[in-house]
Amino acid sequence: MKKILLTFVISLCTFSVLSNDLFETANQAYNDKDYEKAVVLYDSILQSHKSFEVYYNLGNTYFKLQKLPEAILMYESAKKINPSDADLNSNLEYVRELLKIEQKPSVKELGDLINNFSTLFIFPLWQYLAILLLVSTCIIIFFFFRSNKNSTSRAVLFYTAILSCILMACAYFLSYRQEKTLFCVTHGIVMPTTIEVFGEPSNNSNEVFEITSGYKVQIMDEVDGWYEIAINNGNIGWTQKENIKLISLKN
Amino acid sequence: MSRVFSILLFCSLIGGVLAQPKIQLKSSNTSVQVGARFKVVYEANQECKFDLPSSFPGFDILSGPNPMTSVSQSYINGQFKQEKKLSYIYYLVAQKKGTFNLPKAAMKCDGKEYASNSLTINVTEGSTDVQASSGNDKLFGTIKSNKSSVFIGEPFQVIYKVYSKYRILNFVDVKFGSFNNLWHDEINKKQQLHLDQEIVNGQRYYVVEIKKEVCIPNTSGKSKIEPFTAELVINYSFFNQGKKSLHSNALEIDVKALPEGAPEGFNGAVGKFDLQASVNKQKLKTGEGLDLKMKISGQGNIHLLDEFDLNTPETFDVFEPDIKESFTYNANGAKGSIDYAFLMTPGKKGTYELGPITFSYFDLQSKSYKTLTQGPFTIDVAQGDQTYNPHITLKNTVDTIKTLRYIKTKEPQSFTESQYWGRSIWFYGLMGFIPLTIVIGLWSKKREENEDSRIQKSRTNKADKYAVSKLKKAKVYLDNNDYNTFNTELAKALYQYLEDKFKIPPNKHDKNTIKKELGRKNIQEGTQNDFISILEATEMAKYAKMEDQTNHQLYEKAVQVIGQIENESKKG
Repeated sequence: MKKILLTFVISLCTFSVLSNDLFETANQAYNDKDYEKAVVLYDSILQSHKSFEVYYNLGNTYFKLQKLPEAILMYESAKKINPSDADLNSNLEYVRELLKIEQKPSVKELGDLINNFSTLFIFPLWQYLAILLLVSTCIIIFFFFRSNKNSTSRAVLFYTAILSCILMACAYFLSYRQEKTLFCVTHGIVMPTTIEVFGEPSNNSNEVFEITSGYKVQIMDEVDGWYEIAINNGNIGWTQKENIKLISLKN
Repeated sequence: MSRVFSILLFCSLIGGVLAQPKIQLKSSNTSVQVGARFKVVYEANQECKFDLPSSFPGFDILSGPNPMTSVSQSYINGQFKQEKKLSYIYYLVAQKKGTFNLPKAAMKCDGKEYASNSLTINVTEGSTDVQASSGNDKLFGTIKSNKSSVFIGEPFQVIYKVYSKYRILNFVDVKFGSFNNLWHDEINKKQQLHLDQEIVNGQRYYVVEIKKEVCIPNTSGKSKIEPFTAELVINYSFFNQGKKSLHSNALEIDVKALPEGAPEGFNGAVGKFDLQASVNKQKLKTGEGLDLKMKISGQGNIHLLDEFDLNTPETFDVFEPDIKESFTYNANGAKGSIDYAFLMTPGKKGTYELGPITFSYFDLQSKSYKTLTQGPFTIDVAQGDQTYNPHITLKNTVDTIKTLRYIKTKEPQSFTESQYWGRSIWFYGLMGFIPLTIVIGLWSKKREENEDSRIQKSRTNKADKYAVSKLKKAKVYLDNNDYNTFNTELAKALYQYLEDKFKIPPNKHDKNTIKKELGRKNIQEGTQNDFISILEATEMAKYAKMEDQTNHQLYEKAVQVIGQIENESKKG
């Protein structure tokens, strides 16, 4: 029990501890137009801490360095953490326009709605809420079983226990979805100017279609050295792994 | 078809032996000219499932497959004999020079497949000159141009005509060939074709002018107009009409490039043109509108010109021009004019020169380039009202959309993946607490209940001891079998107890007062009655002697009742 509490407290502490100095130095480098330095600094923050602001700023820095596909990669990573930021969406659209990518946003489904809702709180908060509700459920259940039969408080305890249990399940589900949206790798960005996409994972097979840099593709499958990718209009094909960079918050 | 089939079936029933199935390909000509029409027949001797070609490489199908059936029967030497002939007829036209194979046809009879032979057709170049020169052609078509050599952009006229020895009744179908690198449009369009007469090589021909077109070439080199084909109905004599098809010559035009030395700003205009330009005012304030009107009129390829580029001072905002075009087409190209209306607003005060506006074209008569000039116009711009400048504010909003938004500067929130326990043992361990708390809850409840009953027990013991001590004196008499004194002592002890415990004075020792007082102290009804009954029993014992055993019981009961009162009064 002590150990659990300790872990809990430690993770609560790391939650807010981020080298803000490093972030400000990086921003200063950006303002001084020393974009190479800013990239290195932002990258070093991301080595240990994932942050929407850092990904967004790094995207801007890559834009200034005229590395547009890299900028899109960073913006897409930031979008995983906070999909509704107006600045982010404006910049992403702008870069896509410059790369002449016309990618229609996919149709909103219930899953997207839940994912959007799950990003309402910064990452592990839903989980802490779930744990809090779990503890409160335990306490309520404990008092419920201790209470005298036929007493009125017993009914109240019973319903609060059920409510608390449901809320805990919801919070746990949302934390689970949030973790999944953040850390599951489902999409990638095309890096070279144009890539050929083949029908099979082999250079000898037929070329199915071509896509240009900055395009967001869904990763369907992988076979050594090759990704099977799908684009919005439903086309599917294989391309070499080095052509695609994954949108991933993992190190 | 089904009727044919049933006849055939009937025939085959009565007819006896069927001949070996056979399919054969026949052609009217083995050597044809480009554009000439000829007949191809697939002939079979039995009704079967046919697989006929749907296209002939190198040929156009004019009509077909047209099925035809013929049956012949004979009775020779006492033997009945019948012959059927199924023909599928195609009418073909050769498209181009070369040697082509006519495809095989197949048929399937009783599960066996039979294929026809194939034929080779040699297609020779059709003579491009007027076919009437050969003298024996009674029907032909021509394509003629009024010029054989033109410059790029120079219009020329093309006339399509059909000549016939016999009267032409009707056109069934006319197909025009394709054009290369030519703009063309029909001119002098007629509602109805007009039948005329003309003498060619001393012979009288009926002539129909099918179409007249004006063409303008856009690249140098040989420009070719492909032949046209026509199918028409001809009246040979009063009772004899027939369908005939014809094929015209191809026309080649030599297109020369324009001579070198084109002036700057030349945009391909060829013909004869005129330029007019004017401004609506020469003095205005910044932000006000200035209209520049320009008109290019004349004859030539005016309708094919590129967009006109206007040189304006940098501080002028120029809106998209309003362009009005009006022209008609004739043999010399397009005749008419293009009106440009430019609206511009000067952004800064000063004196500016607008123009000069120039327009260059290639003059066909003198075969040289000519340049027309208008202006320049001197425009005085005075400082105007700053707020009145709708165009500039519009530009600002456009600019803000097109920039990158600034980086985030507020303290970032961050997280790491290791902060997630949702799938780790910790979370499931915590989940395990729910059943655990149920067990702990139930266990602690049980323990509490046990504690309660234990306290109850110890309390009872205490009360009993107290009662025993109260009734100590009475007990002594009971043990000495002095029952009379025992009863008096017992009553005394009970009354004493009431006085000590509930402060009931001796003058109020009647039943009702005792009951009321005990009731007030939360003593239960049964206990009250027990207490009263003991008092009554001691009273009774004064007058009627009780058995020994009953006295002992009375004592026990008294101890019990006092213990009970003790407990109940404490609880309350």
